[in-house]
Amino acid sequence: MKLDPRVNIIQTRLSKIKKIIAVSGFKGGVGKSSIACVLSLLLAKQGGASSLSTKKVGLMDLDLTGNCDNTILGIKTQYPEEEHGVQPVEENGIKFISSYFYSQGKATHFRGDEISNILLELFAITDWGELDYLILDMPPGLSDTALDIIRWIPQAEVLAISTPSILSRNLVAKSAKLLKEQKVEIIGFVENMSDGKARELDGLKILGSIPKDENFEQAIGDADKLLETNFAKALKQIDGF
Amino acid sequence: MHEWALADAVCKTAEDIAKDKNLIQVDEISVVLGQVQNIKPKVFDRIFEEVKLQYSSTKSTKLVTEIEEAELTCNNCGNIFGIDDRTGFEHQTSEDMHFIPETARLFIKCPKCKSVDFHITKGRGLYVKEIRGETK
Ligand SMILES: Nc1ncnc2c1ncn2[C@@H]1O[C@H](COP(=O)(O)OP(=O)(O)OP(=O)(O)O)[C@@H](O)[C@H]1O
Ligand SMILES: [Mg+2]
Ligand SMILES: [Zn+2]
Repeated sequence: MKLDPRVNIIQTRLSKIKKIIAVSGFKGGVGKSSIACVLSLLLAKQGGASSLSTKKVGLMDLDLTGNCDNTILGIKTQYPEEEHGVQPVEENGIKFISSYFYSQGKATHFRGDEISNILLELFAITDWGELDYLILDMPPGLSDTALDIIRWIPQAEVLAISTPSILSRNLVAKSAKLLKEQKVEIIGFVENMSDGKARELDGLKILGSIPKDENFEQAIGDADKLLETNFAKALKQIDGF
Repeated sequence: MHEWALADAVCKTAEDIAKDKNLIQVDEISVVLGQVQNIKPKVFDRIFEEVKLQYSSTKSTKLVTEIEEAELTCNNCGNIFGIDDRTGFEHQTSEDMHFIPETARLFIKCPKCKSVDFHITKGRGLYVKEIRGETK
């Protein structure tokens, strides 16, 4: 027999987490990572739109071939410590884990089955402890990572991100339909790079919109600056998590 | 020690199987350790002895470990190759592969065609080979 013991321990590792949110976009480049990072900061430092109490937040960069949350947040820690498993890095009030830490800054080229294996490993060994939120920054599309999360972490709820573009909207609508059929909870969608005219999307709840923010780029790498952007101010108004 | 988390996964798996198969307890468990992940049997053994006490069916389980050598298969040219311990890796590289064996792709190339696109066909990481115990 050849039994992979990691699958059996995932739910134990996540057992003290109240809510798991998969920030998903389906189309690439719509702002998933930016929203996942800033949402984590907002929840950890200021609470949510409807509650001012700060939250215990974990963030996991699951875009294994395109990790960039470490850059957005300006993470300085070199390597996660290990004790009873891997301890997420703690910076800016967020517990953070990413396969970036194990890549020595190199490009990370992984095929599908390798991606599944890395996800399993990270979920099996990361010791999150108690969290109000675990935010998952998802890669674009509905391939290995998305399917693995549905399989192993069915309690994860999807926060869908779309731009006003028909290309993005079509993909979100189709993907949301499939996810609902698979019994995945969808919190709703946020329109990013919005022109201020956010439109209904095939029965998906609009949670709010974020304008294109010319100053966002300058704030990348600095948590305090990120929180001062119009991007963060708009995101802070969005309720429903 | 991140071995602790993996030993915990092994014991939890044994506990689940013991319940499922109606075992009185788990007498013996065989675990295979992959060369790429490079978990030292002695370290795993020591941690297992501590972790096993947490689960009712594994309190007196005997652990047997064996190492599976790495077999890497190149997706580009089909070459099958291993990892030569004598070459030695930088400390950081061993650490990275210890946590995430798939990062071998970042640090090793196919010796024949120099492609970075190979997969680990054997000796990746840890798995359970056998769980033994008497039924109730
Ligand atoms: N509202 C916004 N205003 C200005 N720039 C933005 C906004 N949202 C995102 N960006 C920028 O757009 C680019 C893409 O954003 P991001 O990386 O967050 O998208 P993504 O959906 O995670 O991409 P990928 O599909 O590659 O994971 C980044 O350079 C980011 O800084
Ligand atoms: Mg991204
Ligand atoms: Zn080759």
